[in-house]
Amino acid sequence: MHELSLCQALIATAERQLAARPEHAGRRLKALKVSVGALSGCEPDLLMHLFPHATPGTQAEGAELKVEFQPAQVACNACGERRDVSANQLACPACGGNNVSLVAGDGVFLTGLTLSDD
Amino acid sequence: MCNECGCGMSYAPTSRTARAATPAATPSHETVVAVRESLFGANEAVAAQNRATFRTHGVLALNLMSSPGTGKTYLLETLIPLLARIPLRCAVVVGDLETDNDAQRIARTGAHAIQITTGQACHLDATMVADVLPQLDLAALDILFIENVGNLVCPASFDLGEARRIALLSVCEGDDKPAKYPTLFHKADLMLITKADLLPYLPQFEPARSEACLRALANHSPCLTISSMQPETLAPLVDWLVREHAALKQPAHAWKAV
Ligand SMILES: Nc1nc2c(ncn2[C@@H]2O[C@H](COP(=O)(O)OP(=O)(O)OP(=O)(O)O)[C@@H](O)[C@H]2O)c(=O)[nH]1
Ligand SMILES: [Mg+2]
Ligand SMILES: [Zn+2]
Repeated sequence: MHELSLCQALIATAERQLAARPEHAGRRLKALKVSVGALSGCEPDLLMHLFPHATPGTQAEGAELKVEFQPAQVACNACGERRDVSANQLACPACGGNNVSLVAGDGVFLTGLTLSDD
Repeated sequence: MCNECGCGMSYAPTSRTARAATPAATPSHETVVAVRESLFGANEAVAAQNRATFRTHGVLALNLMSSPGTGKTYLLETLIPLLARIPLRCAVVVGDLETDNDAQRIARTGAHAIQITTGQACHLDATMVADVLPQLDLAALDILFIENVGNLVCPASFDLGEARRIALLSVCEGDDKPAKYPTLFHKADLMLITKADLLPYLPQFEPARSEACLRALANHSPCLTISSMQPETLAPLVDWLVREHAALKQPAHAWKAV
């Protein structure tokens, strides 16, 4: 889908997070960690591929992108099971019911910034 | 999908699961700052404003999503005159990569139709919708149909501020679409199987199988089989729209925040 605009949103988000942490001013942004949900519509490989094209001239220039794939995870409202499931089989793997809540795998999040003194 | 990159570099996907970051010890001159912020946050903020605007005016906003050619525009052309008799006053915002053909078709029903020509963008986003809202007399409206760009991938990730999402699938497309495009279908509040008049020619399409794929996404939303060539098949859809519109007036209406 929109991996290049997601890279741009990622960098803007990281820059905003850094600006809000003046105690780290002057340190180099070495890595950005992102969680990509199975139901987010975002393709992790494309994100990795496009990231270096989006960084020049930003604080993320030269930084590494670490992508963590977040599988769809459901919590069953009937039997209480909580488990990773495949994106097109969201029914409860324990009891087979489909009264479940999707608790993870639905979104793309910036989850961490690695800052370095070197 | 979106031709956004154009970098000319070869692109070789590896396994999704191979992507899990390996936890490594952090050297002493490094700090890892934990954050958690959605990369769709900017769109979601505008969508929330749109949603509040629709709520203020009691307008039922509906986001129609499907592949190209599923019959979104033809459905609106057939449906809007039926709704006018109730009476429910409708307007349409329609997104396409090029042309204002769809807006012209809808305008013939007498409804106000606004075309958003997206150029390269293969989906509508909340800002595109916000930008055209001043052209609409929301106080004189009951239902705003937002016909998204024909595409089963990208529109799914962009909340427009709608109250309900409608996913359409035609009998020409194969009945397992919900299983192939779970991101779009798992969040649908209504699934419409369109072009049912063609079912006699496509016996391999089983509406029940589409519905089973939807249920496998833990989606309990209604599923209706319709044909815009046979207006009588639209009666259950009209009933659904009347109910959803009436529910707006109740304070308990669950305004969907995605
Ligand atoms: N037989 C039959 N044809 C239909 C039906 N609905 C739409 N069509 C035809 O399918 C074609 C595409 O319909 P549209 O309404 O333009 O589809 P759309 O989803 O708006 O297409 P895009 O906006 O391009 O994504 C047109 O030729 C319609 O006349 C239907 O219920 N039955
Ligand atoms: Mg159309
Ligand atoms: Zn269960």
